Amino acid sequence: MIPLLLALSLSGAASAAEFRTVDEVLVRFEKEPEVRDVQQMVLEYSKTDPRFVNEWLRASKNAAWLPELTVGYDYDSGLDYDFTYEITEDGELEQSGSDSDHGVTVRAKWRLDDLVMSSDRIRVISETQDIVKLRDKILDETTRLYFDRRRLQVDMLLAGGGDLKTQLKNEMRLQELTAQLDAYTGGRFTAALTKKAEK
Amino acid sequence: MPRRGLLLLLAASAPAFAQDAPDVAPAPLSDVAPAAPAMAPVPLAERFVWERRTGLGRRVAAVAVEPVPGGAWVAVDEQGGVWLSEDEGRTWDSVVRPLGGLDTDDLPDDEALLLEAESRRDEALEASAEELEVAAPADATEEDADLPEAPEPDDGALEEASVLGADLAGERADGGASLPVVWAEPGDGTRLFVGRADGVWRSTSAGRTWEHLGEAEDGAPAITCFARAADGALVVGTTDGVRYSVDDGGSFIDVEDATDGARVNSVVVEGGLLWAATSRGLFRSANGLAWDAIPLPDGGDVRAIVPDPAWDQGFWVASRGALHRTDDGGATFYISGRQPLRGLRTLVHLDEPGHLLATSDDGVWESMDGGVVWFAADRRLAEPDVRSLTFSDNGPVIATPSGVWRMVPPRESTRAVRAQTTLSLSDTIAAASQRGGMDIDLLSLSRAGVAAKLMPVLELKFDWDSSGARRASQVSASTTDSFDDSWSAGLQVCWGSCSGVATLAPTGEADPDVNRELYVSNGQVYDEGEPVAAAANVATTIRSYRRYLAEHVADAWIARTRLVAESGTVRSLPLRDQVLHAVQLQELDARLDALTEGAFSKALRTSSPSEESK
Repeated sequence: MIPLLLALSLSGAASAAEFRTVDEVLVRFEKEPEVRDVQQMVLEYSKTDPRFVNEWLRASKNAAWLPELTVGYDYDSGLDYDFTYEITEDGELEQSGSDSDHGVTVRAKWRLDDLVMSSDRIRVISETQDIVKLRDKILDETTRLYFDRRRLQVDMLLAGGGDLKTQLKNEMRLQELTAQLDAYTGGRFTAALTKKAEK
Repeated sequence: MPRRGLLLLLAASAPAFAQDAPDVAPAPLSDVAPAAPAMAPVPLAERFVWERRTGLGRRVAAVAVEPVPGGAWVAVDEQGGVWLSEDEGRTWDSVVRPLGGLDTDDLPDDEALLLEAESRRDEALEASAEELEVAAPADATEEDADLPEAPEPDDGALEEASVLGADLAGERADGGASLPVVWAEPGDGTRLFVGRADGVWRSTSAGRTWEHLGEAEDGAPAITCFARAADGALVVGTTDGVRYSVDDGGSFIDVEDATDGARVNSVVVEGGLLWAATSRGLFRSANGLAWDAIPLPDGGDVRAIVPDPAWDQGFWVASRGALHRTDDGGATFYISGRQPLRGLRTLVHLDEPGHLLATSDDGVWESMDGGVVWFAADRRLAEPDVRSLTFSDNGPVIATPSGVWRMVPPRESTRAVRAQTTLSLSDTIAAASQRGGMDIDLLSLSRAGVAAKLMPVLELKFDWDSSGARRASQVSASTTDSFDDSWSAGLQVCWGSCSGVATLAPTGEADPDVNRELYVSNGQVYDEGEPVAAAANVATTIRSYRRYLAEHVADAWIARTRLVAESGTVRSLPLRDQVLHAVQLQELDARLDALTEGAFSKALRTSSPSEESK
């Protein structure tokens, strides 16, 4: 409902004769999120922010400096009895003994080849590449949606209201574009519209 | 320029005159007309820039344009020389020699040469491939034989001009009070008049040939403007009132009237009456012989009169301190604006209601609201001293001491385009290709595979053992305890699969690393101990995406460059198209930003502003 109200206010509050310059037209949209804000919303929502990618890449490289560490502890306990049996009926304990062994092992292993190239790093690069492709795709799409919406707003502002059918058609299209941007931003676009409009 | 605007302009255009108007305080709101006419769509100031026409390297006093499509331009210089251009001011031919002839003193001065050089440099920088045909200043010596014979320097006439100039207290120091004037008569487009110190010159061949209509008498006042009365008489404004000619300038009738002694700045025909703007106020006449003073709310020195084509019997009268407006043919006047226009010389009405253009010794000014608010229309105009204004098919043309200027849509120079696109195409593609996840150097990737093979597996090992034993003998009734502590540390280095490697450690043994995992990357299964094959596969994929990315970035970058280059011509389009152009530019910026993680905009922000944005 809010986008609809905003759109109505944009189209109804001004007429083309009010504007003389490009800036005077574009300033009417200053209470809307800028395209870079929307792109950032998309990155946050899709978790494809370049920061994540860079952190993965950095981590995959630095991880090779950490060794594969093995720590072991052994404990052996033994007890033995020696009996000597004569012709007599009962045996006779002759000797007894007990043993106790403790062992500690620490191993640190570095695969120095991982500093140059590792399967983990290759896998991370491969995954980040997929992330970049995904990011490019959704940013391209949201940028297109954003400016399709802006062009529609400009037309509604400058071309006049038109007949009721045209107005409704434009309003529906505006809502559709707003909803699509919301889908890509997890609703952040409309939230930002509302927040800016309240200022 | 619509015909209507052109004709009105010619009727209203005033020749040079000079009196500095002091700044005046803004009028109280009650004095100002509350309702301004509707605004025109786009000011000239936003659509055009001034361009100096090269080729006439002389100090220009006035310019006129033959009022027909593609009409010739006629300029008169300060010495009265008349110059004709049939290619919109690119080249000029001398058609009437100046008083005193052309000599070395008439050659372009340093400033003119500098301006011309700058102009040529700017033209050379234009992105368009328009061929430069900058002609040198006309060589008058080659044309002397064909020129009408001008009288030898007439000491009397020159002295008269000098005296007139001296008499006009407060005039410009450059002698502008007696500068020659040129007037292209509306109508068939072939008749032009020049007034200079030696009298009136007339051309009936669109400026190609001229005849001298008679020597000016000693002590005759300087001619300041021309007009054609409704009865066909030629009316001439002078520095000493209005003159009247019934033989088209051959002779003049000087009737003693109310304008005597006044400098006539402009004469206009409106509502079948003649109106004269003079240094002593506004005058009206039915026949050009008898004049009546018309009082104004803020009268005094009246500079210009401009009829309003959008309002019957409406016109503006610009005086020294205010812009007056009448809606009833001059019966009543009110002040429509008090914004000071220093040294106003010409006031014209353009094609939209309330759209006014004024020239002064302080540049060119434009109003979209009937003169209430004025703003400068002087982009790239290097000379504020604007002496006359006329219109060609393609827009305003003005005369300044440094030459003739015309208004043209701004064409972005390659420098300006470069300034607005500071990140080159290759840098933009590089920024897109070196983002996280894309920043693999393919060459080092293959080298890394070899280097990885040479790198060993390094293992540090530390062992500690402690053992204790107790033995008890019942036979000998004795107990024996024994303890043993031991430790070892070792360094192990191995290559490859680490089987059968040499051990440098005192203890321990090799531990063959045969338990490697398998993994899937880009649809292929790889042994984690063999990263090179996987790396090659990833590199191939990245290379493929980079190629796609380069094409994508290049498309956007080139489209943006084209849009920037078109910015000048877009200014002449309707506002909607201008806005959509700006939105498209923003979209391309945003796309390039998305592909370069903001590097494109960052480069734009850190670059110096372009000439256009200044």
